[in-house]
Amino acid sequence: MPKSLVFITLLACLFLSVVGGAFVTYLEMFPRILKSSDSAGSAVPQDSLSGALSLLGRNHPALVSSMQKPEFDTAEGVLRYDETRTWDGYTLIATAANNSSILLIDMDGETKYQWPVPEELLQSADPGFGAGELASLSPPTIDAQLVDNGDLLLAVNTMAASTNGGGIGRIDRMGHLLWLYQGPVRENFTITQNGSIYALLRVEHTQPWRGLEHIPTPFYDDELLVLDSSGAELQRVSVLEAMQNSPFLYLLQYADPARNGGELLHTSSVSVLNAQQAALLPGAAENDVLLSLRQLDVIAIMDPLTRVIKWAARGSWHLQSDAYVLDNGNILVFDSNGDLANGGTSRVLEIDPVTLAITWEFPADTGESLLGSDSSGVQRLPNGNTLVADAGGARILEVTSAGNIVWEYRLPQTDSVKPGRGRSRVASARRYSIDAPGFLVNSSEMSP
Amino acid sequence: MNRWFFTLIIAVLVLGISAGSALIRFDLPLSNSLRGAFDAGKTVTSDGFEIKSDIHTLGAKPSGPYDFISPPVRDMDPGVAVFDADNVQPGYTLYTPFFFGNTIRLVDMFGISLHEWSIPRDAYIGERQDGFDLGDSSLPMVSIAHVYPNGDLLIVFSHGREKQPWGYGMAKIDKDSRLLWTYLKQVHHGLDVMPDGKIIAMVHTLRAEHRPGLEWVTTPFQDDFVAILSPEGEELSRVSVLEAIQNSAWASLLMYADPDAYEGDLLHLNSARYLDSEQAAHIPGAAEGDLLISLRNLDVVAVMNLNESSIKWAARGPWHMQHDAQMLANGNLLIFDNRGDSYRGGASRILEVDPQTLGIQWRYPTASDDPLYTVVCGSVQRLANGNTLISETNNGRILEVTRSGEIVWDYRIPERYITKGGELVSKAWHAERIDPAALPFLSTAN
Repeated sequence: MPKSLVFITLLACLFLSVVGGAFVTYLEMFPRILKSSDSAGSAVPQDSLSGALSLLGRNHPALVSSMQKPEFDTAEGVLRYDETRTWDGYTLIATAANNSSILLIDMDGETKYQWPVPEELLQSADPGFGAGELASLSPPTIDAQLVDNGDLLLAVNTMAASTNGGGIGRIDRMGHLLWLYQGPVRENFTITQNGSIYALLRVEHTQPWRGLEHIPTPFYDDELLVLDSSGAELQRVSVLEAMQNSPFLYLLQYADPARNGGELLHTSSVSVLNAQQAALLPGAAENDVLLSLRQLDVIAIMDPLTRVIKWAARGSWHLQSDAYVLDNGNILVFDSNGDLANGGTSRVLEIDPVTLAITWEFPADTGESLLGSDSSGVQRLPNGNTLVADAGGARILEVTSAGNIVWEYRLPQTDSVKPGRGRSRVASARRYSIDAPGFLVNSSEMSP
Repeated sequence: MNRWFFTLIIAVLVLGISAGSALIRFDLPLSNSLRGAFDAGKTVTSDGFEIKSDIHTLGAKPSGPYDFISPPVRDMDPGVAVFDADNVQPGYTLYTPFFFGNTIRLVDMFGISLHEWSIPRDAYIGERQDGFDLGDSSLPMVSIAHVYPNGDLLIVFSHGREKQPWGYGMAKIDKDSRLLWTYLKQVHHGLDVMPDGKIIAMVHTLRAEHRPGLEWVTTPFQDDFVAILSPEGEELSRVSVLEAIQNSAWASLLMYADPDAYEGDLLHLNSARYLDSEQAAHIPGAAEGDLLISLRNLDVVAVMNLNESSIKWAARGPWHMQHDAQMLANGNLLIFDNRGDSYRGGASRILEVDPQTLGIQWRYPTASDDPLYTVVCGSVQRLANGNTLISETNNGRILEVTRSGEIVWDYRIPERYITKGGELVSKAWHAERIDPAALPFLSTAN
């Protein structure tokens, strides 16, 4: 055999095999090798200030001016209380401040219990965090829920100051950390009947996403994170992958990661549908999750098992922070910037998911105004009232269905907030029934 | 030698496959070209819903001039494909084939021409009122036509070039296509005729200077105006939509504007319709004589008052890049929603929306396999019997659907042309069903 023929044959084999190898890998016929960018912990530090600004959404003057902090006002504590119309109970409040703590107050605003936030939850890979100007500009945001015996579940989001740090954990009433899942979590989470925890993890991708190469890198995807009651990871589902597996991928046309610090979706809330709720939503099933995709102005239903988006709606809301399904099948939304008649301020909407009609709205024309942000939230109470955590206004409102404020609580001034900069924000608020915190009765201890 | 050769080949194969695999896995150089080649293969073999695959690649791309390229002919045969004579709203259909701009056609239910008009040359040459210079002008294209009982025709035409702003002018011609008057400012999209005969036109112009309060917008940018013309084509007044927004409680609408929008097209006003007292009563804050406007690039429908130069009401809803917003007698809004159908991968749909709650009262199509998609333009008309006439602009198709979503008339316009890319169809920008009794000129002429 002539040497040249041998050479050409070898060259041909090499070419064919390279293309063939590339092709089968492209088709994912080989077991998938984990790419470094697939893991959540590999986020590279980004400029922290731009990260903080990105939380404001698009930085247009029209928007920013509508989000100015309220004027300094010395009134604090319970400012309104109409006992005949409230749904009385205890309110669990997480504040967004440097020395964050979780408060349980009664209807008179008296602190019945207080938990510190363990350092481990606040710790960050960024050594600069926790001190100085930047940290006070961008305190962590926290969601807290009472579990039992005075234990709390906490999700701490420190991403405003750093791309790393934060996590979700359980503390006892003395503030001891029982377990911790460390990672860049969003502050919103849900506890199911069987005690598992549904949270949201922000995951950075530095490589182009297959099939969506036009998304500039690095960008952030969000993953649904399911933990069991002891904090062990049960499941992670990429929201972007679920979009790609569905006809709703086109919703990415509303994304603008380049202008929003790499945030593609900014999934801002998660809740799990029970059978009754699922029956009232188009195409939904029990244990599907309702997600708020803040950057897209979209509310979506995802099936975590098949990893598919099953339903999605975009409506009159803008940069909404919280969305969950009520037992009547409607969706309650904290619409952070959609109140166009009031300078793009915040409002609470109750939406019929079939027609997208607004069936209830606050403040509407009551003359009140809400200055929400991404950590604001809403809770429908058993008597039909609505508890509103107005993060930017540093206050919590209980509103009747007729739009009357029957309870208003404003956070006290804290040392950590510099004079003139206003109060620490309300990071989350939840109302519990009078009987729920049973540990208070059996315990003489106050704050540890 | 043979054994060595065989071993060598195996070794080369193993090495090669690993190298190729690594190329893709670790995104090494060349991997993108290979992916491109594989993707190309996939496109050829996939037999999916054409619209979907198109939208899946849209991503976050802004709209641009490529939107104006006609798609290949989707429905092969020109002419009337469906005609359910018992259920249609009988009448004649006036439509504007956008890429055959010199002819506007009035057809019967069989698609047979009853009358045709063309743009007379003197409608688009001569001195312009706004100094806008197009050099040697190409043939303008008509986007909308309004016919009067005597056969006079009001037309809005564009220069049809990839140059912003793309409006060209308005003209009135008689039934024999002789020019009556022109209004040569950059008029675009549609028009409306008020009860007293005055004409509502939309004009866009470039602004080179920053506007106070809008310093964040890159210059030059486009502003949209509503101009009121006398029935003889004289401009009576002109109001800036941007100013009206800034002058009102609805200034926050501008937070949806993209400061780097395609060629500074911040608002993209694409319809302006007169509200009578009955229609206005259904919208909070609106009054007779206000205009219902559609601002495509904000996904906003609004009510504008011309005297106060302000916005009285606005809504942003589940629609995206909408066209042809109008008020129905039943108090609902009718909207051509170009890209908002969440059930069909962002394809087009027609929405009937309650302006008080923004709830969707009716939509077409409801079946996921009913094709309706046009990236640009699109027109819609509610007919006397409750049916809806739709112009699916990009696919050159005009259809009439019932309340329950059945197609009772489906007309594929015959204006087509052959290019290197295959047979392309002209756009059917606008279609209107007209009662023959309103067109007496047809019987007197023939």
